[in-house]
Amino acid sequence: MKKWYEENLDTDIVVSSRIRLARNYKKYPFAVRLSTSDAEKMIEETRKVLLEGNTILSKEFEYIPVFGRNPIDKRALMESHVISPELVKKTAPCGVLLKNDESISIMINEEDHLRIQSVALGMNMEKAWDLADKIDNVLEESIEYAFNEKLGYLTSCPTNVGTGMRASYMMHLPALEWSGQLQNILYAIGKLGIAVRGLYGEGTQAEGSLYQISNQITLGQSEKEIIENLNNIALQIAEQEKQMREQILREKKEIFKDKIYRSYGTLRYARMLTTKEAMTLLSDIKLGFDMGILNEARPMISFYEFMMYVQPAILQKRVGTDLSSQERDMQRAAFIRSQFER
Amino acid sequence: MLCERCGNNPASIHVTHINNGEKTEMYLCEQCAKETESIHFHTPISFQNFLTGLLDMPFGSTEKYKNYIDKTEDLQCPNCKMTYDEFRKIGRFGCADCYSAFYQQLNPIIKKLHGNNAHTGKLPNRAAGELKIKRELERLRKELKKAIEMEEYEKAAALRDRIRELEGGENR
Repeated sequence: MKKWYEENLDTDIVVSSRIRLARNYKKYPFAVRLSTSDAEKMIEETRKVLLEGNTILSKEFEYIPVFGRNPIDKRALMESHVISPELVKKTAPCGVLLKNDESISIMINEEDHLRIQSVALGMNMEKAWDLADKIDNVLEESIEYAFNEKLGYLTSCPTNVGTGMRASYMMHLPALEWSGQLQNILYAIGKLGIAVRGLYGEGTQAEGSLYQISNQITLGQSEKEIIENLNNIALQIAEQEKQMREQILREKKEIFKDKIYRSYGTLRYARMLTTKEAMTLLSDIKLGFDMGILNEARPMISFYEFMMYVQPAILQKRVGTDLSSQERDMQRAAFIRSQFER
Repeated sequence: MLCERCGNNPASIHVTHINNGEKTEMYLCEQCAKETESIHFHTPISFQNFLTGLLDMPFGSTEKYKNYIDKTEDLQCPNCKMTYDEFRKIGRFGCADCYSAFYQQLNPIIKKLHGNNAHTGKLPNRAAGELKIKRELERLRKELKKAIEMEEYEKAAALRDRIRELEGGENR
């Protein structure tokens, strides 16, 4: 089964579009008050709705228990954006229902009972919304949600109440980052009810100049309005990034080209690379290709996939967990080199 | 390999930091290694951390704050037994009923968080089936009025039929 990120679309500034819907059962207490036995019951009930129904979905989804799994497996799921850092840390029964192409995942017993997540490549929030909305409808046929006519979908934390929706764009913003303009932009959009988060969502750091831009307000606007508002802001940021790239080409083209080629050389020939260095170099060459100043052989996989495969846990799952950190960095460099050989 | 911090000098020192059980490994040059010894690893501020702060100070002045604390002292959700005090500390509700139990305290906070306090988005069929019909009827009636004003009688007739159909369903 082809994964959603293997569609051979190389994306530009907006790398991916993501929707998350927070939903809770009416009959169970929320996560902080949920007993272990109720958590197990709730997981089982949700699992059955999707996997034992008579729909095509039962064949497309599989359940992966997360609690009790080894740390590397858990982290690898997080690095693939299938689960959140919060679910990795959770010390109660929890798991995830995952679609075979990984475009939809439903975390069970995270901060809310259900967190439906969907993702699409590039700037395509409508598609991501459509996926999440449909799954939400299917679940709702069998599950009575905690819902209030005035406040909408009731969530564990009041910051998510209403639509329970968080829409986020993963954006590649290296030029704004270098120019120091990014801070100003992030400050400005904060005032518009838009938040910026790191690579794996809330409380995480940006890596490889990748930022998640998402709505903060979940109540008082419809899902469509929230998405439109976010679209406008994402397009604005993308425009600023574009302009900054053009300015770099006008004013510092040769210096910049040298930097990009150095990164390309390092990536293709280095013998040891840490995750962080690999992410920075991959970000550089993506920028070089996107700007049309790097005229060399492209790697065989998309930027998104590449970024995933150099992450520590995904790498360890492939090459083994008994390696020292130096051996891991060697394996990472070897993997990267292999992606350029045809 | 170059230093991961400055990116200029060759890395010669391997630094491992353990912060809250999370391990970070870095390759640094000698100078950066010295400088980072005293630097605490930066973590971005999370929005939700602000929340508990906000819950503590829903009013401007300390006087009002004191009254507010006194008033909420005994507040408790009848279903999950979470107290308002507990909610204020963790910023999470114990169950769906907490929303109505703490509604008075919550309303200004929710307004502050979202700039609004009424849901206008998606409605689930099961929990809000009636509300969904109510909203649809409102929409259809508006359209009907417009159609009559524009003298589009065929459209108006179709809308009227649809409204009757829905009203029938509602009264059943």
